[in-house]
Amino acid sequence: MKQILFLIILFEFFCCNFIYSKDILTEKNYTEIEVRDGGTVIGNVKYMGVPAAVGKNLYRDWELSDASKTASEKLIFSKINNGLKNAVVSLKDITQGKKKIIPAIRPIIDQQNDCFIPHAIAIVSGTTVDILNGDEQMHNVHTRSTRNQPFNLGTTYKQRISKRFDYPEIIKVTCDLHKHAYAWIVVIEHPYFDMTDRNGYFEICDIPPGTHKFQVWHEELGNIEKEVTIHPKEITTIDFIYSQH
Amino acid sequence: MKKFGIGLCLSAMLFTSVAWAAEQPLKKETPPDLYEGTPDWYRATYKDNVGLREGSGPFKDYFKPQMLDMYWQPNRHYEPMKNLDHSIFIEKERRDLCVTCHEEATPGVVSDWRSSGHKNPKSSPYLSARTAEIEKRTNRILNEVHCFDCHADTKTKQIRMPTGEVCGECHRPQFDDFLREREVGRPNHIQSWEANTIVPWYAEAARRGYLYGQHGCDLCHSGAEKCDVCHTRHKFSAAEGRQPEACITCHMGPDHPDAESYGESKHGVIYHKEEEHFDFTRPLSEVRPGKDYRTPTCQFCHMYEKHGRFIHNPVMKGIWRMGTVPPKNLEYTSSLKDYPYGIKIIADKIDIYSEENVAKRSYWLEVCAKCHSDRFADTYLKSLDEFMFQAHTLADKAQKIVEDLIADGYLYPSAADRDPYPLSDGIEKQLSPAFLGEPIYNAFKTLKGKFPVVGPILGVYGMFLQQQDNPSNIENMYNRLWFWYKLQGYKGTAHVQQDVSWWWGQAPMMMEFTKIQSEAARLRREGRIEKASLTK
Amino acid sequence: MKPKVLLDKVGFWRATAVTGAALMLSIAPMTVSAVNIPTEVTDLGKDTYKKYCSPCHGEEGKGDGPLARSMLPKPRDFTRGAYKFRTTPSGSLPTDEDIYRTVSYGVPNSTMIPWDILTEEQRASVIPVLKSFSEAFEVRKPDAPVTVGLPLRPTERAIEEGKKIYEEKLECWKCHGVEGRGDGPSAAEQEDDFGFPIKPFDFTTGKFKGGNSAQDVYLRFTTGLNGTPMPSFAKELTDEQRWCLTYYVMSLVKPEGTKK
Repeated sequence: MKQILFLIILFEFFCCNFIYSKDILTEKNYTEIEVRDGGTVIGNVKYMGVPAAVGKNLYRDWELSDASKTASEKLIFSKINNGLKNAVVSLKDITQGKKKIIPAIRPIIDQQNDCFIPHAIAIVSGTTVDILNGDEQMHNVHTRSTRNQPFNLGTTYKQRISKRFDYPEIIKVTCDLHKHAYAWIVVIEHPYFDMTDRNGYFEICDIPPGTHKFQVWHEELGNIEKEVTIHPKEITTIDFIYSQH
Repeated sequence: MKKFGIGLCLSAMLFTSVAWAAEQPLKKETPPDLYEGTPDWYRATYKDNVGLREGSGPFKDYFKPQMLDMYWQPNRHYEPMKNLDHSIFIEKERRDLCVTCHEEATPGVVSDWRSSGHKNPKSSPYLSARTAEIEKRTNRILNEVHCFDCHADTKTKQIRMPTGEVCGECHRPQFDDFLREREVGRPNHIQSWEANTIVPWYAEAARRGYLYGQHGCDLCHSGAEKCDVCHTRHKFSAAEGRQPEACITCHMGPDHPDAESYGESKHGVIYHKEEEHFDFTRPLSEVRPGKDYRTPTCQFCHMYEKHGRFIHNPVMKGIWRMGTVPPKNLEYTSSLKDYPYGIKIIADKIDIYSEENVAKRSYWLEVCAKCHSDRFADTYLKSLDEFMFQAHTLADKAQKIVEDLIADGYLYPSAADRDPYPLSDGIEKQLSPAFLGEPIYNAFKTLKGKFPVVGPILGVYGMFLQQQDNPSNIENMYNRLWFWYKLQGYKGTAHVQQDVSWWWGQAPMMMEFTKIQSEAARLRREGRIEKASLTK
Repeated sequence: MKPKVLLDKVGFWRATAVTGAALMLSIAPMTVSAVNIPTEVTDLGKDTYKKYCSPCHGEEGKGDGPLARSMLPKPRDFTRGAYKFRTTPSGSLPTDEDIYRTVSYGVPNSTMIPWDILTEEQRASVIPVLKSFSEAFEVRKPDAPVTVGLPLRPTERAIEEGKKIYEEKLECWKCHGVEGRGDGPSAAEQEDDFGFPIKPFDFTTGKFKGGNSAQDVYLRFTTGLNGTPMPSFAKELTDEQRWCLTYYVMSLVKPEGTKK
């Protein structure tokens, strides 16, 4: 009997890796249910502060790529209503809700004139992103992630890199040949999120009624959180405000 | 049969060689020891490793050393690092790994070593010859002197920081020369750590919370018996040690402005102007004055022993030494006539015209004669003697003023009302009459250090530790006179730097003297007024 | 008949040996050595890591050990699961054998020495410890190692072709310099994933960090160096072109003594 046990252990030893990994891979924290009386949240993310001083561009007359322009992409906000661009509003700790829809048309990040366009995207986990090279020169696409498999690939003109992001994570994408260029891919596990437009506006719908914790992330200003009660079939307006410091 | 013959031949050879070896008088060489000839208790307070648990010297129990002292004084205080245990590398003697890792961790060190004679001890005919001498002496083949040879303590399987003794294993003649500094006594290099910690004010300052304030003391005084103070790590270049710059990090400043006085003298100026034409690769004994050196360096004069021979230490020929010890050849008015007051552990007065010192002077003249006429050099050095006599006379006068003031009870605040002499409790406990002499010992025992101490050499404590009202203003003035200005004037004159001699030496010495006079007059006047008002 | 009867003592061990050998053989093409690498963290592994690795890599594998602060390049932070020297494609986790290889051979031009001073068991035992520091090993598996085909012959033509790729197609010189001294115009601004400056490799030293064989150098172009700006060129270059590039950069090695 002991001997058979030994064989089984030997067998286990070679197989356990695969079993183990499969268990982990199928693990999900979000379950899809039908949401009928969902409420909607709209509002603005605002930044009450002055823009960081942009250094004088000494290279202006030298026909080099304009580094000062990309530097200011860190913090863009509307001068009319102080709305903050490129902030991601999402629900925190939501375990069940509407169906995740993976966009049929893949989101694109393009590299043009040594810059990533758009500067930031928010996607639901499982989405495939296409990263292009629109410049007639060599770039590389270098992601810094732990849960999603990182990659660092050289790209040439018109080359397309398609990568699927399966795990929630905030990932910085850089080009090491053009150090000033970088982008953000925010991967969220559930579909309750939105990225603000240039007026800081966002909209999230079909939220199960109840009190939820909302979180805003911005690359420069960090996170803020707020609890909001959602009523069935009603529109709730909230504003998130980042004050300076 | 043939085989037998060969065997016979071999065994015969073997026997003869054994016999030859037995015939040779076995030159028993003791391992190099920096504390050779010192008693066991002495070794136990200065040499035996105690890590960072206690200090050194007679007052070791009164302070714990700075952590840095483990590098300055590895014999006594080094503890191997605990973060990364290096013992595995030493056990398995993996020499290659030292360089593999440290080439990146500390690249400067490895690069220094690569360019050193240690890496290629046979790179030139001269070096090969010297290496062959060492090979013969140590009975080893030396194709590379490696990190492992100096830094691995194969007994404890730990990393060690080499001291002069480690260098002495191979460089024995240099080590033995250096060891002879003990013959002349302090101040010297080999006893610099002893000098640092034997003084009671070092332990007292540590006790009062000024341990790290004495960082400056430790930097010079703790490592001077390590070879790397002159031949810096990890190049250990002999040529570097022959350059004046090797000395000046320590030999500068108010009590021994050697760098300043030599550097701005004509000797020094010529050296700076023509430095690139100096050939420092030549051993001192082979330097051709005028060709290799157009002007003498510190080493050329001070390491010249006698009759064309050079010795590997610079103190053997010193007559006036540091300039602090009063000469025998003067009549003193102050208590200096009783110097050294029965204290056994400090040197007696110097007899400038003793047989030994007259001989030393003739050796100096041998050096000077490389360029100067005998009469010129002799006259110059005699004028140095006269300068020193005059300076000591002035110091004696000043000391007399201060001592009279004390004797008449006008010192304010009086010794009874202020902090005692540094570490008086420790001196009484740790030092016996055998060291201090009966009277001084009794003074400590009965008065517990509540008495004034002025002048050479114990009065110098005020330069290193200022306590509550101790020393007072007038004592500080006298300290500056004899320990700073007298010594600056001495070095200015000896190294032929006129400005140092006058404006840093003689002139401030005289100013300080009149200040002492008027301060004494003021204290007497105030004392008299006070007495008068009390008697009314 | 019961299996217990079938398998007598001798027969059992013979069967085990044969099965074991067969299994080993089936893995053999993938594994570099026959060292048994444990799957679970063992006490031996913990002790070995603590004694020999943690001084630089830190107790929690964050690359922040007590000796790390004065080091450049900085010791690897294991929490991201980013390993430079692998046989797996860009971004993938390394195989256990990859880690074992790096531990055993060290990383030239860094303070990571070849730890062949430790026993094979000790070296193998730290691998599960290293893996335990990163959640990446919980959610991902290493991809299959890339296959290294038959190498191209290092002809003049191949080197010429490699030079073209180096100078024109991939513009390697932007970081690695025209002469391969690691002094290209973009060299100074490079930093790794952890925000530390990183020097592009100086080919003239000839001490290739991932190993000196052509196969090793070829693997670096194919797999990239995770956690560094060095990308993979598995897509841009054909297999043949990568061999050409390999031979070209190896031809940049200068005789010893010209660098230091």
